[in-house]
Amino acid sequence: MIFKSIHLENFRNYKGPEELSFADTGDKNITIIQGNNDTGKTTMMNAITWCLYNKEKNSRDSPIYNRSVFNDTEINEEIPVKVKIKMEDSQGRDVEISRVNKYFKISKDECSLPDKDFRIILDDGENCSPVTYTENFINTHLPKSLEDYFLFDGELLTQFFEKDNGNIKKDVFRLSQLNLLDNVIKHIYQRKKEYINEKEKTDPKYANLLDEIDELEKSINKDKKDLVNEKESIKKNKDYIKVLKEQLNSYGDDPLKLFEEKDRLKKELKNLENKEKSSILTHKQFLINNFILIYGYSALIDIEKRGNDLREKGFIPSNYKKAFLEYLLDQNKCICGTELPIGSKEYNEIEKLCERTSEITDISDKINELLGRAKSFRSHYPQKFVEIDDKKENEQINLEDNIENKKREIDEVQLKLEGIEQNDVQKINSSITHYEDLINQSNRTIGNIETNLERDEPNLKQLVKDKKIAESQMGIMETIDKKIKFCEKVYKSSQSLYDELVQSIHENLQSLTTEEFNNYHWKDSYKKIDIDQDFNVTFIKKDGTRIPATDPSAGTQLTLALSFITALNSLAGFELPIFIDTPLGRLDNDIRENLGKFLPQYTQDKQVILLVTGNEYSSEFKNYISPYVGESYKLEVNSESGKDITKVI
Amino acid sequence: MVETVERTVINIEEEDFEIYQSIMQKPEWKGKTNIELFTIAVLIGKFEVKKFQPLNKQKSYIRVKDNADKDEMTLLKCLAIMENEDVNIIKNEDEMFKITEGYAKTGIRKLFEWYEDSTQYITELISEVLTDKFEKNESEFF
Repeated sequence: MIFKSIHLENFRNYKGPEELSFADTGDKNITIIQGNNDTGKTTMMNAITWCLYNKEKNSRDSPIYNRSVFNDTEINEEIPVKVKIKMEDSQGRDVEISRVNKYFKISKDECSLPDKDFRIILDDGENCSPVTYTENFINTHLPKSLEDYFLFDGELLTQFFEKDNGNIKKDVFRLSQLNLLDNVIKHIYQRKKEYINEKEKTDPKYANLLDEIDELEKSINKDKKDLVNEKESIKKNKDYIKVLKEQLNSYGDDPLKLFEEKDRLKKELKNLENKEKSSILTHKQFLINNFILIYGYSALIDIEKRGNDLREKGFIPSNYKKAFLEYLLDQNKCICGTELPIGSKEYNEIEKLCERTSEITDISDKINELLGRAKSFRSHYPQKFVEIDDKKENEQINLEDNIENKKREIDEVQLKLEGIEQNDVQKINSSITHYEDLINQSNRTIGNIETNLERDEPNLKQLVKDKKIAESQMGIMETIDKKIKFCEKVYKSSQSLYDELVQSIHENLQSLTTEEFNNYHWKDSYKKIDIDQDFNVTFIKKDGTRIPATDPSAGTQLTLALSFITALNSLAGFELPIFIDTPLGRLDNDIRENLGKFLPQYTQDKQVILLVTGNEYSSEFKNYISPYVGESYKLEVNSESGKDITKVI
Repeated sequence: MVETVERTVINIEEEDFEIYQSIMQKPEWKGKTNIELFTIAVLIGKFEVKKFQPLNKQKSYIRVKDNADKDEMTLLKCLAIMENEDVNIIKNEDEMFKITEGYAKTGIRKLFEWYEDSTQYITELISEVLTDKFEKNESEFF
């Protein structure tokens, strides 16, 4: 379907009739509708879906008639709301689809429920006739399920890959019209079943045989397909591993081993440093422990000398204490306790003794005790101090040397690792492990499948043999047999065609999306866009790592979604224009520029309608896209009776 | 009767208390007692600084009774006798400990200076002075 024009009347902020023609397919296939925010771009998208499906893409609760027209309308007067889209179908016929809601103003605040009219008129140049089954027409030519693939909201495109993957796969198959072939396969299979049932009624045993063959064939086909997929998957994963290993090799020596070596050396260095720390500490403690004896030794010797002197003089140990003799004289007593008169011979003897006795005898006990303690302390003198001290010093010097050597070894390894990030290497290595795991998984699956096939294929052969014997015995029902065989033939060839198409669509979609994305996007770190059998989309980075499509920035996601959708549109057989509302909002300038440069190339022969803001429609983008622009409009807002009115200029 | 003077505590200069604290917090001093550090300070004051300085403002640092049986206490007494050149000083603890307190004041400041000036080489420095002293002892007393 080629969209020729759209006519809007009193639809939301469009007052009175407004009409826009769209650029046709061909060299100038792009229509630009430029307007700032809230000027009516999204309303235009809503008008299209309202006209086609009686539902706005972004539905709102407010009435769809224009508020300014409502204000100007007298009570009981009519307010017609109309959207008419003119198109041309693949046979060159003009198609006019119009939806009209007629409202009647019943009070100053409200309208009655509208009279509704929806019609489609076909004009082949000779006859002009209305379509009777309008809904059928829409479902066949413009199914609502395809709405998401020709009417896009740029802001929501980033959410495109957040959809359930099963849905994306379904959408891709629907857009590529593979579902038609799928229907054929299902249908023919159903027919075959019916013929078998018919036979069953005549010969249940034979029909049972056919059922078994059928089931087994299905199972074998599935296994064979899975086998191919698993083998492809192994091949693909081996390729990834090869790329990753090449990248590792490009670093020179095995960087992982070098990083391990570096970690080991660092650990050893830390041990040595701890040993050194501990050795210094014990050395200090050794010095402190011996300080007092070494430094105080002379004092200990001095007291010893004094002690010897006093011993020689007989003061220590003392026979008498001077204080005791003085006490006896003072009390006029003898040692035995008898009275001693002053001047007596015994008294005089004690007096002489007292004079000869030194006062030191009074403290002889204390001195004796001190001498004993000093002697005992001195006996601990560290005779081997210098020897042990040297040993400890040498131990430290050795540790210092070892530390220096270790640091040098680390520097040497570091030199080899210059410019290599450990994280990058670890990532690559874990990616390799991941792919190796996948390969192992595939190998296990292959093993299981091969076991199944080894069991099922001879079984099938035997069943086919049994069937032939049964047929020769029956010799009847040739017609039904022929029909069943025909169905089998059609089923097999359709299935094989289907598989080939799926494969081809998948490969083309992947390469075209990658090509488009790389042209649009400035970042060369994304090597490839990978679309797997289930249409999960992932980025493969240059270093071989994979990231999901939903991971990068909004701008990158939008670029990917645009690439994917335009690639899909180029591959699909469906002829519909591409409408994109605010497609460039989240994109950087250089991506916009690239989009301007390459979008026309990828949307050749397709109508493209871009609804853009002034900011989006930058001069760089404009320069590139101008040669392909067939129609260009500007939406402006005027204010009437306090309401904003969109005008198309 | 013999008259004796006894002391309850040995004092240090009040302003040096922080120095004592900071040294005691060093890892190599873990497990050491106040009297050990004090004795080392006295020895440094006596044999390295060779200077006595009476205390200005005193702060109690060591309880005499608690340390009476320690080797360090024996040494402090021996030092006081050596300094006084008279064993009779043993009767007067106040006089005895005043001598040690005056040397500890100059000694602890020297030790702190060693730590401040040669954090990296304190081991070498102490090892050196101790070896010198050890060798001197060897030649004088053995």
